[in-house]
Parts: sequence; structure tokens; C-alpha cells
Amino acid sequence: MQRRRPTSLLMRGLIARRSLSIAVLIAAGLTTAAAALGPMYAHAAAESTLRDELLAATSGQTGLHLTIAEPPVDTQLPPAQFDSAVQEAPRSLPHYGKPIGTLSWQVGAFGAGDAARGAAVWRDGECAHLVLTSGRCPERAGEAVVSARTLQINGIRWRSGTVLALADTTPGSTESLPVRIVGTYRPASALDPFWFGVDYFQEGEDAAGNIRVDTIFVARAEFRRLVESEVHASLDYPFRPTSVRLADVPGLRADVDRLQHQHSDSARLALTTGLDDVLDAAAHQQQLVDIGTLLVTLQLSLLGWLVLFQIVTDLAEARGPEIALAKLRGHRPWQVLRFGIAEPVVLLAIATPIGIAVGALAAVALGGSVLVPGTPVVITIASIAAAAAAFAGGVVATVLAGARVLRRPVLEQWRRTMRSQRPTRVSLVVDLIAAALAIGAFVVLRTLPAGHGQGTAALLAPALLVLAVALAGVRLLPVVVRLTLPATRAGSRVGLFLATRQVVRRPAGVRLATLLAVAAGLAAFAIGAEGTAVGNRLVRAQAEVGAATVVDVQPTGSGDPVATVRRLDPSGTWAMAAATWLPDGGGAVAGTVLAVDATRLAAVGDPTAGGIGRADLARAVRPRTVAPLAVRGTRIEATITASALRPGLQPQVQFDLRTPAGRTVAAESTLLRNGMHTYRATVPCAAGCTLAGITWDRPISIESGDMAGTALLAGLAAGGPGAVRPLAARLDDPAAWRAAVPVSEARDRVSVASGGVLDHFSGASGYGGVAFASTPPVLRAVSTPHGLVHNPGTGPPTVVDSFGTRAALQPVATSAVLPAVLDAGVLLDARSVEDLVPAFRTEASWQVWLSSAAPPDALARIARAGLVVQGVTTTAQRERVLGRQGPALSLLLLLASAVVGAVLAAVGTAVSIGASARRRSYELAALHAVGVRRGSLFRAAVAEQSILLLTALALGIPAGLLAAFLTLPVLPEFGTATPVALTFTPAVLPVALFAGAFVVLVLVAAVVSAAAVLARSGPGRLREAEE
Amino acid sequence: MTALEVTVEHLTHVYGAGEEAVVALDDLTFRLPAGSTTAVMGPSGSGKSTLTTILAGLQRPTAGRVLIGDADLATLSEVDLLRLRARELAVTVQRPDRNLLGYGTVADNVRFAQRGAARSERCRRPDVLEVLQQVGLPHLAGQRADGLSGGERQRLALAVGLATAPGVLLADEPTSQLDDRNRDALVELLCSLAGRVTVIVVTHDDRLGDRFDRRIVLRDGRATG
Repeated sequence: MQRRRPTSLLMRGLIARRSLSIAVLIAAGLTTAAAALGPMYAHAAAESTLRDELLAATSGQTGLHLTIAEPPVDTQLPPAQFDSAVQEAPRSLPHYGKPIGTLSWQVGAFGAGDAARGAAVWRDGECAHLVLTSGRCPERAGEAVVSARTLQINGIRWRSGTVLALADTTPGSTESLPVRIVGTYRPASALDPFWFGVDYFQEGEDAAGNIRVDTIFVARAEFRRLVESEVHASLDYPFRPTSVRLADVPGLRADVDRLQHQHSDSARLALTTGLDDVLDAAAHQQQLVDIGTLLVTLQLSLLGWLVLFQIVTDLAEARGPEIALAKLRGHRPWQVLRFGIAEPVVLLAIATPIGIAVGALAAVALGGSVLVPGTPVVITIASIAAAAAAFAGGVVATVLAGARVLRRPVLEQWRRTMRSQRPTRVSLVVDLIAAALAIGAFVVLRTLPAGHGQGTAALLAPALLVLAVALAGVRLLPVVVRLTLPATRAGSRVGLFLATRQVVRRPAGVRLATLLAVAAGLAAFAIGAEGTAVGNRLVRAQAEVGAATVVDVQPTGSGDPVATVRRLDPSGTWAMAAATWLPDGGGAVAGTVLAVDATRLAAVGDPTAGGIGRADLARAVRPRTVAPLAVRGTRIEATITASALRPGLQPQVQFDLRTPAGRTVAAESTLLRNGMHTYRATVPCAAGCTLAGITWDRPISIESGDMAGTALLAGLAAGGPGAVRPLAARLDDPAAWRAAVPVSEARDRVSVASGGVLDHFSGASGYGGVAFASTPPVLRAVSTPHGLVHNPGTGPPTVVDSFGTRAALQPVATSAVLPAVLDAGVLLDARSVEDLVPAFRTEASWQVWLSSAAPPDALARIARAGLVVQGVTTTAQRERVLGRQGPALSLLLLLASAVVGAVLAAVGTAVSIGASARRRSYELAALHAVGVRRGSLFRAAVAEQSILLLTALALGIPAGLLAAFLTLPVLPEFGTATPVALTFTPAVLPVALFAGAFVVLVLVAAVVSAAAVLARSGPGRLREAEE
Repeated sequence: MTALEVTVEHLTHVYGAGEEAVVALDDLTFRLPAGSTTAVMGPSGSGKSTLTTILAGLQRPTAGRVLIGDADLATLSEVDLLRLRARELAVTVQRPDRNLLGYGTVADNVRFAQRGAARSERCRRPDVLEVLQQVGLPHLAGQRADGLSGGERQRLALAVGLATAPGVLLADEPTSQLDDRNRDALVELLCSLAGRVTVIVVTHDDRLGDRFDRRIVLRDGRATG
């Protein structure tokens, strides 16, 4: 007869005990999966954070900027040498795109009688990144394209075909080149990485008051015509962030380092890049993920190992008779050992690749939900090593679990009802020491100072606390239940009576209950912590972004963004103009100015946790003004009675108006004269304007001299020729008129007298006037504690623009945090800033904030309103990015792991109860034989299991919540610090839902297991037990 | 297959101590020649099971000697006892399912019994079919053990005992739970082993005792017959 291999017997055994085999397979598979998941997830998370950091960085930070210089000048060289310099530079670099050559020349442009300043630029391939609104791209020397909005500037009459003279602005240079405008453009996006973070589109005025136009793009050949002008030449290597994997980083750093050293001694080429800083930030995130993942994986693996130990113990017990038979047949000890552990070891071996695959799938699932889309999940060597370690741990668990059965004498094995494993005093002491150590370690972790990884190490704290509570609580259970014995003895409920006695005398379920308590506690902690973290991510994202959606826009022409957005959303419920501004030096603002349309902040902005509420903020910065004074017509006139004017020093009457588009209009009238006169001016207000005030302007002819006098404004009227009507100018209302903001050394004392508004004015230099109080005198400011820096002795704090215009700030409140600028800035009313700081509109970065109530086509509406959309940021996006930071990824892994742990513990519970059913069936059969009814036995079995399982939950879940309560304040939730006030109270509702589901689960398990035990408790059991 | 002599000298076994001590075997002495067949009989509590476990090397006697051939069970180490059971001493216990791997086939069970032998000795073991032919089960070699009838299982248990070609076969109640036909067949089988194996059967069955060379009747731990 053909000899059959012993493996066939082994396979038959596995099949015969398929329930236990499957249970071992599940437990071992999940344990292996947990072990393998950690390294795979950490690797994927590191890839994701790397990608996030690289994508979040600007092209200017990650790209390589190679400046080409000619000694001894640092940054300029004659353009003729550009080509030879380019030859020296590397033609291509891994992970970098084709270098973009740039030649730039600061010019004055003169054409059609108008002049402007700007830059003439050739940037290789620029036309692919411009939208040509007319004409074509420059193809040869003598051709140029200008921005479409340049042609809309007041005072610029250039058109397609206009020949511009581009003149070098370097003092002493006379070089000039004629170019013809062959087309107009608008940038596809000023934030396009192609531009390398350089703002080529800077329309406005420079400090000298010259009109500054967007870049004039010319052909490369243009620069060959230059002889003496200074040209800035550079090569930009655009970075390809999506091509970089974690494994590429060392090589990438080495390449950049090599290039920097290579060119450090070269006077012709100088390399600058911020890539190292970006990679360092990514490495920091990676470190946080690695630590967190390691701790979480260790916990889950340990839990899995304990469950596996529980199940293989049951498997070993189930194989006890076979092992006894092997001994009876004279198998040698090593043969018995091999026979005893072969089945679980084979199952572990089968489970290992399955576990790795499940781990990979879990990593893919987790990664797919939170990581950057497209992040690869790879089976790393570390994950295989972790799986191998899990396998080795499983073998150890198998040997430990089987040791008792393997050592058990044959005769003892044959005794069907074995002695229960009563806890010894030694094991009690061991448990108490373990609990004390766990609490000690928990306290140490909680009190560790913040630093490298200590915060993340707090992820270990919950497991320690939960373990301590579980060990101590489960040990106390029999003691507590013992107290109920007299009551149950006196009562009529036999089931309860039996159940309590079982718990007191047979604490075999202690290990099971401990395991379940730890699993439930970890799950409660993880759910509570993740719930809190999700809430905090939203809170932080809301504070950082400011509104549900923030659209970066560029105003076109001289359009007023505030007015534009008000027209866009007349209801004021879903859109608001806002701007961030870094004021010129010399002012009191230490951080960033956030200017908002205060009339809409409360409706459109998101809350800022830790700061003043939106409505209060809006109220605080809103200017104390009256309704604007509308002027409609082409003529305006004022009746003024002047006196005490000094001969030769009479000021000129000037009407200050604002068009609906927000443009200021200064309409000059005649010199002020003593006596009552009517002063008239022509104004471009057929479509309507608002009157800002009347200035006693200093004529150009009066450079200095005390320009003083008294002016009584008695009447105002506007209209067309011959049809002038009085304006409702509230000349008798003290709140409606005040002194205008003085320019230089001027002073006005304004009051309301009988007959009108009276101004006593004077000024050795500069000028003043009266202002209608529809514009504010000062900027009401809410600042962060360090947002304003000023010396009270030098007057009120001020803000200064690049023109040198200084506006006074009136601090009205301090907020720990402000929207968008967080803890370093000042909140102002945008309209007020526009009124008082002329350069603000061009210097600020404008945005449109949209609330969640914004219509779906809001972006299209913004574009139609004339604002060029340059970028969109949403709170949801920011939340996702925050959710991809290292600590958040660790917490998510903990949540997933804890849920898996709970499932594992539930599997272990079911298996354990099933395995103990046979043992318990002898006792129940005996009780039935002495007359206890089956109903009572069933209730007793249910009650016994319920007491154990519910105790586990009653210990584990509060312990988990307590751990969350104590640990969350020290557990990092973000990779970077935030001043936003976060919540550290665990989210109770999801924990309660989890607890409810778990209670149902364990009660079902108790009922099913009780039924299973009872079903096996037939009279036949007694015959077996007799032998 | 060489039959071995079994010698029991002043065998005493006591459970417990002090006032709770129970004497299960009391100064028991007998000698069973090699190749003989012996029935050990007696009422419940007479010490049959204790004698069986001591003869099987599963329990050490309190006093006295038990020799299987030249091997003194009282002085053998645990490993030597295992080796003895793997080579010379076959034991079949009372319930068939304790003798068998229920999920294994009939042939698996025979091979499992042979596995305890050293590799060098395995070639001298009888072929599985040969063993099964002795008990009339060669046609069931591929059947699962837990699918056999009661009689077939008892015969298989005997086959498992004979799988190592032992010198001594110790069987505890091999005919219990069998109908007459199966019992008679099994008795015939045991008797057919005489001369080749020293057969010791612990039984309540008088008819079995009648067919064997000798019978030892135990009462309160002493031999009375």
C-alpha cells in the first residue's frame, strides 16, 4: 500500500476542526494584517505627506533658480552672453522639467503720448501660459504683447499697433528700442507654477506715482539688440512634484546639494532653491507618522496576539485527547510537540500571506480615503518583516498555549471534567503589578514635556490605562458578585443564583473579559479621539481659510472689488470681498492686515474658535459713518462763506467724490474768497457718485505759508447745466460732517453753526478740509495680542502704504485669533481702508469669500463680474490636508486598528465560549438531573455570560473615554502648531453608538452561547463524565 | 513480533494519604509467561483500571515492581516509558474514540501508531494492510475512523495496538458495547494472537475469561483467583 504523507492527516484534522481552524486563521490573519499594515500605511502616509508638502510649496520654493551673472556684477550681464552661460548650466535634472530661460529688462515705455513703467520680459514659452485676447505673440525683435487691462488704464491710450519706445531706466543709460504692440493678453493664471512665484502682473502705481503696467512680453531676439542695458538673466528648473517618490528623496537632496556646491564658487552661475526646507518639513511629518504608526501597530499586534493566544489555547484544549493518544502510542516528546503545534503553525503559515494581502488592502482602503489620490501602497520589506514577526509571535503563542496540554499527563487528560484554573495569589499579584506599572507609565507619558515624539508617544497611554482598569476591574468582579450571593440565595430566581455562583467560583472567563475590556476601551478611546480630531480639523480649517470657499481674485482695471462683490450678491448672504495686505514698513501692524467687508462678515465668514465671534468682529470694525451723500449729474456747486483768509494764501476749493466703481474723483473749483460765494466744478457723475468731502487744497503756487481762515458751508447742489438741485447734505447735523484727514501740517476745527458747517482751518504746510462722515476718520481695528506694535507716547498706531499715506488705527478690541491671519494680524473694514489708504487697493491680495450658501456657479459669476479668478481654497480642502498630516494619520490608523481589535476580541469571545461549551455542559447536565429546569439553566447561562461580557464593556468603555479625556490635551492632532482654540473633550455620541452596538453584539453572543451550552447538556454527558 | 513475559511483584498502589488514603492495589504478585493470554476480571472498584494504567506505564506504583520483559516500569524514565509503548507495549483503552483519531482514515490510525518508532525501526514494522488484514479491515483502509461501526472501531483499535508488532498487548474492555457476533469475532482475534503476543485483557466478560489461558480476579486490590 502506498505510504501517505502525514500532511494528509494534518489536513484532515484542520478540516475536522474547521470552526476553530477558521477562527485561528482569522485571528492570525488579522494579527498579521495589523502588523503588516503599519509599515505599509506608514510608507504610504509618508509618500502622501511628501506629495502634500511638495504640492503645497510654490514653484519658487521647490524649483531651482539659476541666476546667470557676469563678474563683477552680481545679477546682470549683457544678454549676448546668455547663451554661453546656459551652456554651462545642466540641460536636464531628474525630477525637474526643461529649464525656462528668462531675460528681463526694467523699462520705461512711451507710446501714443503716454508713459508707463514696467518690465520687458522674454520667458521661454510664455505664450503657452497667456490667454491672447487679441493679435498674436511676438515672434521677432520689434514686437511686443501688453496686457489687455493695460489698455484700459486711465491715462494710457496704447492700442494694438502702437509703437512703444522701451527705454532703459538705469540712471545714465540712453538705450531705447522701438517695439510694436502685436497683441494683448491676460494671464491664464498668475499663480501658474510656470511663473515661478514671480509677479509679472503688477499693474498700479509705483512709489514715485508713475503708472506701472503689467509685463510687456517681447521676443528673445529683442535682447540681442541691446548693447549696454542691464538685463536680469536666469534659468528656472520647474519641479515635477508628482514624479517624486519617497525613495527618490535622498538622491534628490544629493543632486541639489551637488549642484549648489558645484556653483558655489562660480561667479557666473548662482543656484537658489528652497527644496531642502520643503523636504525637511516632509521628513518631520514622516517622523510623526512613523512614531504614531509604530505605537499603534504595537498595540494592535499585542491585542491580536492575545486574542490569538486565547484561540490557540482553545485549539490546544480541543486537541488534548489526540495529544494524549500520541503519548499513549509512545510518540517521543518532539513528535508530540510537532503533532501538537503542527495544525496552528500551518494555519499561521497560511494566514501570513493572507494577512499581508489583507494589510495591503486595508492600507489601500485607508489610503484611498485620506491620502493624496494616487498615493502608491507598496508591500515594503518592513511590512514583510513585521508579518514575519507576527508569525513568530504566533508560533510563540501556540507553544505557550499548548505547553499545558503538551505537559498534561494522559490520565489527567482523560478526566473529562478538569479542574478550573483558579487564579492564584501569584497571578493576582502579577496582575496588580502590571496594573500599577501601566498607570505609572500612563502618568509619565501624560507629564512628558513636548518634544521629539513624546506627544505622539501619548498614543500608548490609552492602552496602558485601559489595561490597568481592565486587569483591576475584572479581578474585582468575583469579589463584587460575591456580595450579591445572600440576596440571590434568598430570591426565587434560580438562574441568577446559579449565574452569580458560577462567576464567583469559576473565574475562567477573567482572561476573556480582560481582553474584551481592553479591546472595547481602545475602541472607545479611538472613536472618541477621532471624533474630537475631526471636529478640531474643521475648526482649524474654518479659522485658517475664513469662509467655506475663498477665491483669490485679481481686480481688472480700476474696478472696486468691494463694490463689485456687493453687486454680485446684493443680498449680502453668500459673498464678501476681503483682502490680505502686508503694509509698507513704518506702521504699527506687526502681522498681516485682513480687510473685510464688515457689512457681510457675520453672514459669510466662518467662526474662528478662540477668537471674538463673527458678528462682534464685524460690529467692532464697522466704521461709525452716515449714509453716503449721493451726487448725480455733471455739475456740483457749494455755497461757502469764507472769512479771515490771508491774501495770497487762499486755498483752492476741491470736491472729493467717489464713482460707483470706487474710483476717487477730485473736481477742482476756484480759489476760496472772502464772503459768500458759490463754487462750481464739473464732475463725471452722470451715473451717480458719492461726495466724500471738500478739500481746501493748497495750490501748486503756494509751496508754503500758513494757509488759514474760516469757511462756512451753507449749501450744496448738483445736477446738469441749468438744472442744479440742492443736495440733502445734512448741514445741520453734527454727526454728518467732520474734519478731513489732514495731509501734512494742516488742522481743521469743524462744527455745525447756524447756517451750515463751519471750519476753522489752518496749516503751515499741507491742507485739510471738511469730510462728509460717510467715510471714517480712523480705521477701527481688532488686533491679535501681538498684531499691533506701537508706542502710545507717539500718538495712535498707524498703517502706511507704499505711497507713504498714513492712516490712524483705533484699536477697539483684541482677539486671540482672527480669521485667516490667525494670531498675527489686524482686522479692518475693507471699505474704510480703501477710503483712507489709496495704495491699498493695488497692494492688497484680493479675495472673494463665499459662504456655504453660495450658488454653484459662484465662480462663473465672479468671473463675469470682472474679477479674474486666480485660485480657490476651500475649508473642505484644508480639512483634507490637515487630515493628511502625520498625527491625524496616526489617529486614523488607531481608529481602524481599534475597530479591528474589537472585531478580533469578539471573534475570540465567540470561539472561547464555543470551546468552553463542552466543558460547561457536564455541569449543566448534572444540574438538570437534580431537577433544575432547563429554562432556569438557560437564564443562568445567559446571565453568567452577560455578567462577564457586560462587565468588560462597563470597564473598557469608560476607561477608554477617561483615557481620551486625559490624553487628548497632550496628543498631537496636527503636524504644526495652531493658535486656534481646540476642543479636547472626547466625542461622546459616537462612543455611545459604538457602545450600544457592542452591547447588542455581546448580548447576542451570550444568548447564542448559552443556547449552545444547554444544547450539549443532555443526559448522555453524565455517562461520559462517569468514566 | 516477540512475545514478552510480564511480571508483577508486590504491586501496591494507594490514592491519597492519611485518613483519606484508598488502597487500590494491595501487594499484588503474578507472572504472565510470554505469549500467554490473560483476562483480568473483577467488580467495579476492584483495582482493574489502576492495574491497567500501571501496566501501561501511565501511572507509577506506590510500591512493588512491574516488569515487561526485562524493563522495570517503576524505574524507567518517562522517555523510556514512551519508547517502551512505541516498541513493545501496545495499549488499547476502554472507549474506542480514545484509541483513534476520528477524523483520520483507518490506515492513518495505523500509521499514527507506528510513528512513535525510531526511523531506523520503522522498516521492520508490519505493513499497514498486513495489520488491517489481521483484524479483517483491509477493505476499509481509506474510510474515516469516525464513520466505522462500533465493532469495526474496536477491531481498528486492536489493529492500532498491533501496528507496532508489540510483545505485550494490554486491552481494557475490548468487547464492551459490541453485539455477540462482533464480540465473538474479536475474541477469536485475540485468541489467535496467543504465542506471538502476550495478551492481557481487562474485562467484565466471563466468556472472554473462559477462552484465555488464565484469569486474574481482583477484589479490593488483591488477586483472588
